[in-house]
Amino acid sequence: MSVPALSLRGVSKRFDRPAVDALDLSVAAGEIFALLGPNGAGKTTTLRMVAGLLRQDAGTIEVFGTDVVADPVAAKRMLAWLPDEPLLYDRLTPLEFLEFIAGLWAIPPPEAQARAAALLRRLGLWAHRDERCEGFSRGMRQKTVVAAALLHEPRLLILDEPLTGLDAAASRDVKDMLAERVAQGAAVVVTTHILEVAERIADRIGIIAHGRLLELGTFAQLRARHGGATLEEIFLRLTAPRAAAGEAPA
Amino acid sequence: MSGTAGASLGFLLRHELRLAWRRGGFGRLGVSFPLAVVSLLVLLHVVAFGLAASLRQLGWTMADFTAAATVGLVYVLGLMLMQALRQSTDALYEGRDLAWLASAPLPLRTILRARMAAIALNAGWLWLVLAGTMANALAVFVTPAALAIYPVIAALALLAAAFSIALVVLLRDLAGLRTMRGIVMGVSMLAGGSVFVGSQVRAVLSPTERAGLWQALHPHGTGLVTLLWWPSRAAMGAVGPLLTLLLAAFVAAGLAAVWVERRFASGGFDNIARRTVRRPTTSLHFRAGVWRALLTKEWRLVWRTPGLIGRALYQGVYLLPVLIAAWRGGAGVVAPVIAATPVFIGSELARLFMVTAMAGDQAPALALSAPVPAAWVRAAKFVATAAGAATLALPMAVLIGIWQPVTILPMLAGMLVAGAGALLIGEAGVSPDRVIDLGARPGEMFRGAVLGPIAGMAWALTTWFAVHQQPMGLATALAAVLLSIIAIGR
Repeated sequence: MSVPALSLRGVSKRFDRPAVDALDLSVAAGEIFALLGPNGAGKTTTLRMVAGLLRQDAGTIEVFGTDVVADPVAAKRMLAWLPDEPLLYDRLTPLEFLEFIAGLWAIPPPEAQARAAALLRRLGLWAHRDERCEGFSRGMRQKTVVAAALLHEPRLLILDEPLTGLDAAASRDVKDMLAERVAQGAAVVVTTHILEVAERIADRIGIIAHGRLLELGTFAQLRARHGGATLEEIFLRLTAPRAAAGEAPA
Repeated sequence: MSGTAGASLGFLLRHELRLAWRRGGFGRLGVSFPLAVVSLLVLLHVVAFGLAASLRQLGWTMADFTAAATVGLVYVLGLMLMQALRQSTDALYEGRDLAWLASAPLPLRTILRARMAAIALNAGWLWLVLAGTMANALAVFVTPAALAIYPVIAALALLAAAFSIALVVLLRDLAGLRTMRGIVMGVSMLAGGSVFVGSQVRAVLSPTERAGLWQALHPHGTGLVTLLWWPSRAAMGAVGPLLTLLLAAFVAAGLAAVWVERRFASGGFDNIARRTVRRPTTSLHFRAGVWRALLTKEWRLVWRTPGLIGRALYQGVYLLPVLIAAWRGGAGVVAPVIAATPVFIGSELARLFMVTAMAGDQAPALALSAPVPAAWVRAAKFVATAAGAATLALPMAVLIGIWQPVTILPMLAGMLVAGAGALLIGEAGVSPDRVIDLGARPGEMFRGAVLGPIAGMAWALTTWFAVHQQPMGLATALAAVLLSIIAIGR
């Protein structure tokens, strides 16, 4: 049996109340997994733990068999994390930003430069490669961080709302690029509030609320279990009573 | 619901002041706050009453008071201008909330007036308190007409705000956002620096020269020349000048609001979309190495921080009067003083760069998600900022060392420990998870901006004592270490 791209076993994280509660999850290589949940469900906390920015209180997280706590550097080498707000430096140009990313992930310069140029061209940023990011629109910033996430050809992509701010064409480009990475054996974990996106691109969907996994399976399996309902209906049926009862911070 | 009246000027002003209050790191007022304010006011009044009483004993005439008021008002106006210029840049082009506010159903002019009033209040409140305290004392000991200082300070604050906001918009339209920032920083430095250099008159001029200057400040001349003394005569209660000054302030504020509104209506908001092109046809060559990547990033971000170079060079303003004073003081004074100065300046530069590197890091989590030990990320900040401070401070130290070889060892040792302490204070003083250009929240500022320079000064004094070979240096070194520990401690 092949090693899962991402494995979470009994992962818990508590702030003033539980944010993630005994979460078990496994994502295979070559799979796009959509993690859905209402605001404060624990999605971002889960992704931040996988990215090594938060340490879990209990449980283990492994990236391709490497424990993110025991060997964080090795685990991080294989993954890319894209937060819900684009993290980039206003006073750097996109090219300088990608050069920085290439340095952090120790990509050989000629290779990094070629990849950076290809990514910027594909995302329509090549003409803006020497402009500082401070004047960029939300969509351009998002494209820049997407390029950064793909630059080191990660085996696991952790993407928090990756399509936010993108126009239809850019959104299509990013989805295509993710599909290409998956075809090459990478795994993608994506969170989104746009359920149609999850329905369309994800191989499997997980729905969490209050840090607990409520439902897991392919869209077809979910529909079968919920009497042919739409994903929106399933999502609301599972999460609305819990959300109304109060949300945990994520 | 429709048909509700738009927000009033007062409503907007309260909003601006609340934002300024919160930016200052303050929350709801506790019982201790009014107690602290009252205690401070009592203390200030004790000092002011003592000063006013002694002035009366000196037998000053009204012309003397007018001359003193002229000096005071020039100082106050210079410092208010320095603050108002920076605040105008922030209020119009950095906050990014102006366009959003302008989408509300109320005239842009009202928003600009509120913002201008807030700038005036921010620039003027301290002087209203300080000069107002003196006005109260003069009203008791000299003439009740001295209470006119209050409206004069208010008028000057409004004038400073109107001038600053108009200048900032004009420069931005003529020269673009970046150049405007640079010019504003230069003008602001000039205003603040002149005040600082002016405060060293006693050390720089001889008694005869000082007496000549004092006489020149007394009201004299005829015709338009007499207008120069109208603000100080207004401060001494002359009705005509006072009313004219108030009228001028309100007219200037009104005109500035109208003009700025027109400029903004014809494209002033597009600054957010304006992009800075590094070079039109650059092809950047990627280079290898984690350390290189970390250091290059820090260097680029620090050096591209608006106004940083100006602020760094501003340290030289402190150096100038010290050197003049040391020069005039004779050989015995020169070596210790000039050895101590670069220690203080180096410490301040190190703190400034570290604050900038910490506060300007918009994506601290990014490097932490990379396969790089967190300690390397921190170390890169230290190396980059220390190198920046050393680049500016070391040449000065080398020149001084060549001139006065006796200073070399104490000076370099002082720079090393003061710089290292300042880096740690700078790092501790700023939360890394927020985006600001320069400066820190006042809660953090007490440790960073107040304790930091005091610790730097203690190290400078230590150097001074070391060059003098006096054991007192041990006490100041101990004080510097203790201050640093308090400032660094979270």
